[in-house]
Amino acid sequence: MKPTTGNRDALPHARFPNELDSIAAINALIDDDSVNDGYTHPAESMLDEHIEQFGAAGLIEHAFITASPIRAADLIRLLGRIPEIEVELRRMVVERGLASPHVVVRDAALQAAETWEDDSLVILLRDHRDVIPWLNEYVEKIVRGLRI
Amino acid sequence: VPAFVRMIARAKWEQSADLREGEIAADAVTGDLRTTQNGLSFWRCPAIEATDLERAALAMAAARDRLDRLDVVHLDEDRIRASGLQTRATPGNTPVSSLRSWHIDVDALDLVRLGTIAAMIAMAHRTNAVLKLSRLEVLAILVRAVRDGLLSTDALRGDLKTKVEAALGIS
Repeated sequence: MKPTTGNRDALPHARFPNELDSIAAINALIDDDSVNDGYTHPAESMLDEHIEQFGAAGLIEHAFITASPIRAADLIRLLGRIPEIEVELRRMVVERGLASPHVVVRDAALQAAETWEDDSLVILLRDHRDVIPWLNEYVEKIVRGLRI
Repeated sequence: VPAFVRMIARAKWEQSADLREGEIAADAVTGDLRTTQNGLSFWRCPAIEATDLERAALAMAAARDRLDRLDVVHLDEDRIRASGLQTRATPGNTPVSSLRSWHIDVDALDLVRLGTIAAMIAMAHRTNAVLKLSRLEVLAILVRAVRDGLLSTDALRGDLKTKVEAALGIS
């Protein structure tokens, strides 16, 4: 996979006057360059700034109403990389993500939970039964990891 | 049997609701099979055994800049050869110097040959020929490699270096 060149400290972004413009700019970066496991994404620094300016709730809501499951999954995976997301919002991401009919979104919600390393999410994960066998195995690994 | 292995995002290879049974999602191909100069990068494992697959996973994980899970698909070398795909050994981009020679490119890809590889990966996904490593399992592999002298933390980057050093108790 192509490594990205994003770096949270490298690119200062202009602040956006309103939340929707900021979300649109984040979406544009995600559409330009998909989120790859193991590589920092160019949208991460913009996400940090967005959350500092507007909070995360609107962005999370957007992730679940966007028409593209791939874009939603990428956004959720990026949110998982931000440790500052509050516990209640993390729970919302995982709960709504796991209820998605799209496997890419459920998988992204699981990865976000894994990356947050938040053991308060175990109860949500433990109760999840997926129709995809390998996704259930992934859940078990995450739960084991969070209990350590 | 030797195997050609490569990172994938496994969820993208699941059957998509908007496609017919057995069809391969374009999102999977455009996301996971991005070519460079008509070539696709793989790591060649001497055998499809856990130890070798983990070695290939180490080569890939150590080259990244974040600690994340890793999905590794493995294709039988025999099938690659039987398909007439052209290969070329090239030094791999990994800080694990002993594994650089495991790297191999599948070359001279056109749309049909890239489709052949996509079909092989889709089949490998369906038959569970995928090593799915959690974030903690990736960390354990990297830590073991440092302890075994295969890898120096100085060669790691970004968040990955921080996490591996923390796991090793290096401040």
